[in-house]
Amino acid sequence: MKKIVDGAFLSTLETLDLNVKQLMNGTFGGNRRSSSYGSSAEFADFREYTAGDDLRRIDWNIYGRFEKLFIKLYIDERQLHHRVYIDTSASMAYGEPEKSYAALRLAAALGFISVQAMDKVSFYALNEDECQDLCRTVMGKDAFYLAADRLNRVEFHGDTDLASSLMSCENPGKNDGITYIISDFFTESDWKGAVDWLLFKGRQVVLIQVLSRDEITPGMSGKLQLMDSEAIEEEDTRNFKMEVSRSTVKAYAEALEYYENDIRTFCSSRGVSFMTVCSDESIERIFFKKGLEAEVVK
Amino acid sequence: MKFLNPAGLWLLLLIPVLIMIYIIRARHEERSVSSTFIWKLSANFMKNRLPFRKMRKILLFICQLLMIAAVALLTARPAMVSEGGAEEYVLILDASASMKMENSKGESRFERAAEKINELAAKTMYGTEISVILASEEASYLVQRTDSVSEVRVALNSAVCGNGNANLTEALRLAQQLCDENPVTDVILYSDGDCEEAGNITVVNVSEDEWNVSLTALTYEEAEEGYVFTAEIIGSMDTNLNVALSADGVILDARRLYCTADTAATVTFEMEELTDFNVVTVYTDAKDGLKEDNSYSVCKKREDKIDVLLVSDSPFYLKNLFNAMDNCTVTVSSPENNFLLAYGGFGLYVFDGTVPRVLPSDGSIWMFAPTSAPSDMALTEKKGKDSKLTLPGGNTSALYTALADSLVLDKATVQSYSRIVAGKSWEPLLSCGEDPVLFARKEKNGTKTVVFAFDLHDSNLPLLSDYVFLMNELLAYSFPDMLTDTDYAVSESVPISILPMSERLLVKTADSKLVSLSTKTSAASLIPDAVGVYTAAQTLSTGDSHYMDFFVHLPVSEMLDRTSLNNLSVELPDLESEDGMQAEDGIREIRFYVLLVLFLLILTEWGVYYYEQF
Repeated sequence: MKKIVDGAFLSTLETLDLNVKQLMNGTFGGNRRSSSYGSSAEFADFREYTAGDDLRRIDWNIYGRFEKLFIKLYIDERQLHHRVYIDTSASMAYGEPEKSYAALRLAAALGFISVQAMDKVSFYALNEDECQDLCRTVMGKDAFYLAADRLNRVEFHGDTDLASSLMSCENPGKNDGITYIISDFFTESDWKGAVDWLLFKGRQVVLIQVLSRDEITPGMSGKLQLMDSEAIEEEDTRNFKMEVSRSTVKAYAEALEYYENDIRTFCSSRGVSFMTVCSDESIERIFFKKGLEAEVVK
Repeated sequence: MKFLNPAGLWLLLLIPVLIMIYIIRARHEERSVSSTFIWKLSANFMKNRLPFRKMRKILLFICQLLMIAAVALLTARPAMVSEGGAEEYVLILDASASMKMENSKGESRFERAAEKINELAAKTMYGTEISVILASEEASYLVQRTDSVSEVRVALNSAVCGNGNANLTEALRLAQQLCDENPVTDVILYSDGDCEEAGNITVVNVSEDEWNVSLTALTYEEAEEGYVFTAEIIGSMDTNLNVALSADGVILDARRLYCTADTAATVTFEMEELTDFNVVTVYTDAKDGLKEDNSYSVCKKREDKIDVLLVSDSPFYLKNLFNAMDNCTVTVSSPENNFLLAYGGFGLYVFDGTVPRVLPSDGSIWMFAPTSAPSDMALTEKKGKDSKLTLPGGNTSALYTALADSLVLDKATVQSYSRIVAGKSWEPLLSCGEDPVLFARKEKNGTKTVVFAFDLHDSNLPLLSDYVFLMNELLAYSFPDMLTDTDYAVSESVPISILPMSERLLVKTADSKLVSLSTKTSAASLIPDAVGVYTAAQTLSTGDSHYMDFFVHLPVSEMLDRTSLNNLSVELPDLESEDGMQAEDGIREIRFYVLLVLFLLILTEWGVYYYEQF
């Protein structure tokens, strides 16, 4: 199995950082600005003394000037916990190169950028209606390499109900990092509802759609019975017959564009970042062009 | 409409095969995709295109059906039929010399006539039969009853216009043969003249703006100094001409001459400094339509010298005779040694009153009062007193005829002669009473032997004018000219006399071909077809060669700018007659139109299919 991570791959990503758009709570010892005030050395702001505040934080200079009691506030630099959810359905195992390979490389790249920024990252596999934690929370590069190895062994099969599997996650996090969902989003599942739920949890959400070149520009023609990779039986309603011709391919392109616009509209209305990548695109192009454009990285 | 190859319609059975293919092809091929989510969604975008898609599918199917039908039709060779509409044409193409005349564009009448025939053939219906007869000196079929336009064209491309007259009589006879077999034959003559009474023949005059200047004759006579040449020239339009004269290839004189249309003019060249010549040519540089008659040549007739050996004790009469002949050189010898001498090296041996033991074989022999007879002849006792010399009659040979024409013999007598009995190989020429006294014979090697049964001194013949005429004819008989004339027309038979002891006769033609003729007869003949100077050469067994030139020109009738054609007709059998044939059906194939439709169908099918398949 092709390794998803190598030296060249990692060296490409060293200059990148995740684009955390909002101030979040985290644990101590990170590099991120927290939305709460803490006890670090960097002064942040003043506020009026209320009963119960620590008397040692009263700024007597201000009292001498204004004869009112104010306390100093200091920036609290916290460590974020990012979560990467990977759709491991059978449809993700298609394409040349396979979308699964691209998805895992994306997940690994996001993980590496996270640990490089002293953040924590977790990887989850979404399959059926379950959310499987692939490895424990990853902190530091050593743990990352172990996680990458685990990612190498992820299998893509069956069907995924994005909504159910996302919402079944025991610890999705709350206001402490970015949630990345990597999928093709070719599902009738109410994943938008799951996204809303994550937003409610205070997560910054990024949707990354991975498509293969065949899915973007189908090269087939003739009278075909299209068999969905996630369909179990031949009678599955997802399997159907059609005659693929110039006009049907044109209609397919219009449908794909329509669907992506729909996702894009949904995301922009919620402040969710969204980008579409092709499985045959290089990591450099994905992160340094599309990622920057979609403000997924900086 | 009918089908010339109905078996081709069996291809229509491919239509049910096509339908079966469509039915079988209706099965969908399984194709695995990652997800049909977007494909299903695309159905919403397809709805408004559905009618057009269905129309394209039907159009494709109909195109393919029609293509099969078109191929089947093409193979079946459909044709429109016109009952009794087929025609038969007999086309006569004039191939006489005048048809070579070219117009201002360089097209000859013959080429234009051939093109008209091609055009006629191209627009005839299928089933129409065409025969083309080439009317040159000998008429012949170029093609006979063909329905192939290409065959007619190939035959016309290989046809050659001659230099002689057109044998229309023979051409009409050939046409008549075809008309006898089909009463609905159209006979068309392509010529360069109009016909006043064409009968049931259509005459197509292919003449245009051609004009012609012809040199029709050239003669010469010897003057006190040099020669005087007179040429006749005639043109079809008023024009100024340059006329030149050359002798043996060297230009000696030139004139400017005004020629009035259709009026013969004469031009004279006085060549005082010309002492001798072989061939003199008069020519013009006129840019007319026919070049072959722009020059005329005259060849000087040459007489070969004859070496005569006269063996006689009293050679007076004979010696004087031969001395008077320009072409004879006489050597006189005494008969004393004739038994010992081996004679040779002379053209004519005259033995007067003596006969050698061994007769020479390399020349002709004349004997006067021989002491011994040659083969097939016997001498008897003399008989004599004043017998009149007469022509015996009953002889039709050329020599006898010539003697009969030139001799009078009203006063010629012989006082004493030997009675000779001669065999059938001898030709009696003169008689005294019932006794022939002059005999002649051609030997196997071509030499001639003449026997006089009397001594000239025993006759008053040498004193009469008949003597000279007789000896001239005998000399001409013994030494015939290779050619009696040096001016002939194309296709006119040229008689060439075979010289004594001739082993080989070659004629070099005006177009530089070498023709070998037989020397086994007394005369050979040549039918010339090229215009110009010919050279006949005979080689004798002695090694000597004799040459003579002669000129061949176009027939005068072909030089003038057209004759009129009269009394042309063929007899066509009665259509109502039981023996007459009914006209055939005319058929015109329509394959071209079917092919056009098929081509359009292929284009449409290709366009729809590949558009669908992007």
